[in-house]
Formats: sequence, C-alpha cells, structure tokens
Amino acid sequence: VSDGEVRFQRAPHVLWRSTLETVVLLPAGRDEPFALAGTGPELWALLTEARTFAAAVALLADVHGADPEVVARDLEPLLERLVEQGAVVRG
Amino acid sequence: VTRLAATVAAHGLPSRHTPPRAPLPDDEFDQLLAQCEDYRLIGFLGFAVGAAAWPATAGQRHALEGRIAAWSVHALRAERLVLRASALLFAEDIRSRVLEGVALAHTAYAQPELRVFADVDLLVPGPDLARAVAVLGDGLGAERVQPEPRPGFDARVGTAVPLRVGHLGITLHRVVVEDAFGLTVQADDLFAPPYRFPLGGYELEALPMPQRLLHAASTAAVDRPARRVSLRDVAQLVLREHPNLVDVLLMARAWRCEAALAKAVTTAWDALALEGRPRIVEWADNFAPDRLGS
Repeated sequence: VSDGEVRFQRAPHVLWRSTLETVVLLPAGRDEPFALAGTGPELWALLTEARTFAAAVALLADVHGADPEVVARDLEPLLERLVEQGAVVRG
Repeated sequence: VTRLAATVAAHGLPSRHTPPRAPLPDDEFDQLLAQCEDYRLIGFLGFAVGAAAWPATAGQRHALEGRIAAWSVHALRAERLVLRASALLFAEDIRSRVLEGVALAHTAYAQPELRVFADVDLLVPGPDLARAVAVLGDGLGAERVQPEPRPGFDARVGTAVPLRVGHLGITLHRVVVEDAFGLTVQADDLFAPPYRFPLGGYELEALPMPQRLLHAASTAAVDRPARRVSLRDVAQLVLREHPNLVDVLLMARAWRCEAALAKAVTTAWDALALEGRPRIVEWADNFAPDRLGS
C-alpha cells in the first residue's frame, strides 16, 4: 500500500459506527463486523477522501507531532487490512 | 437513576436537567447503564461521556465502551438487514418506507450513533403485506414470530407482521401504530413522496414530515410508560426539523391523533425538562380533546 501515487478511500458500501474508542465496520460482502482501535479511527476519518498512503502518514504525523516513519510502520498493516477486508478501495 | 436517565435522554438539548458533577458510585453507574440500554439511551450517554459532559471513571468509561461496541455491531447487522429487505421488496415492486429506530437514527439525529435500536421496521402497503412476508421469507429466510391466525388475515386486518431473520427482528407494518390510532391513518399520506436518506452508499426512504413526527408521537403516546427515547425522538424532531405547525395539525386532525400528539409533546417537554416553548408545545399545553376523543 505504500507504493507511489495510489490513492485510498472508503469503499462505497461500508456500514460503520463510531464508539468512544473504535470504529466498527461492516463492508459489503462480509458477514461479521470488525473493529478498528488505536490509530484506526483516525485513519478511517481521513479516508472520507482519496489520499495516498504518504499523505495519510504525513497528516497523522503532523497531528500527533510524531516521526513519520513510526506512523508509517503503524499505518501500513492497518491500511492493508482495510483493503483486504473490502472496507477501503484504491481510488 | 430514573431522573439520571432523563438527564441522559436530554443530552444535547436545552434542558434544566444537569449531569452529576462527579462520577457516580459504580453501583449507581451500573444501574444507569442498564437503564440506558433498556431505554435505548446508551448512545446519548456515550456522547455525553465522550464530550466530558458526563463525568465517568476510567472503569465506567470502559464498561460503557463495551456496551456501545455491542450495540454498534447490532446496529450494523440491522442496517444490513434493512438494505437487503428493501432491495428484495423493490425488486418485487413493493413500496416500502423505513420506520422507527433505523430511520430516526439517520434522519433526525446529527450522528446515527446517538440513536440505538433493536429491531427493523418497514412499512408496506396493506394490500402488499402478505406478499412482502413471502418475499422476505424466500429471500432472507425470514420466519414469522407467530403464525397467521387464518389465511388472508394479514391482507385484510393484520396491522403488522413480526418476523425473525436469525437473531434479528424485522416487522412489516401496514399502519404506523398498532392501535386505534392506526385505523384512521390515511394510506396515501404514508406513501406520499418520501424523505430520502443515505445508508451504506444506497438511498432509502423514510416518512416525510409531518408524518414522521406523528408516527413518533403516536409511538411515544402508546408506549406506557413512555420510553425516554420515544420522548427524545419527539423533542428531537420538533427542535431539529422545525415542522410547520399548520401542516402538523392538519394531518394530526385527519389521522385523528391530535390527543396522542399533544400527550407526546407535553410529556417529552416535562420529562426531559426542556427549555423554550416552540409553538407546538404551546398548542399541546392548551389542547382539549373534542367529544370524539381526537
């Protein structure tokens, strides 16, 4: 997911809910909802519009005043999981 | 705790109810949490705690998060069911309108997380009720909670058919309330041009105003004792959507549900201790039933 100019955004038919700490998602084609914790809700909020992985990393690193490399290591498996589960698509 | 639940129900509205200044003792919070689940108020409690408008200990917040997560999972399953059922009915040329919790969560509230719900409710035209039951039986494996009393009952006199799809409940309605009020509702009003709302990338149809308010009011009025969330729905629709009073009263008169409307509005304003007196509240306070009891 970290390659080049590919943009990512929410899949169009995902049902979701925010809780105090997480986002619960039910993408089309899946039978069971799953939850995102940690930085997941923030990533989900960013993906209302199409963004590259690098752009998402830069935004979150800026918000948290964190090292972009650390944020990238945190975000990459999360985004891969979201794509794999059908909650996020390449835009 | 009941008064605390009313305070939760009024969260975000101008109310004289005020949250506690310090976290409740754990046993009292546990009671409140249970009551908020029973009354479908847990979303409001979540927003109040999340906004630091309701003090809570870390443990209480953790317990609340667990319950909200469970309700969220349930909501998503219910919404998936609404989408599937609506698509099946549409494919068979059966009109439908999404009612009650699912519709209110997505039309009356700024965020659907505020308004939790247990079941799915769809309105279908009376003549199509029996066919709609069959369509959902074939397409979703929906099973009747109770057998039809006799062949043709649904089509002629049934007001609603509760179905089960796995652990989820879905009720098909031919009227918007299951009591005498429902007998006077004008069918054409129910299928007037709908209020459309997005859900999961699709567009669903709910009752427009003032029908949605009258339905919410009728639900609150026959709910004994009125569940706080039904009262909140009434207040929410009045305060957020500012329905035209003349339109509301003309339709309430035609549906012969003025008494239910007045009762729901006055009860909501009293129970939630709401400040401000919109014209509909003034009307409700002064309402006197005529000799037909409307």
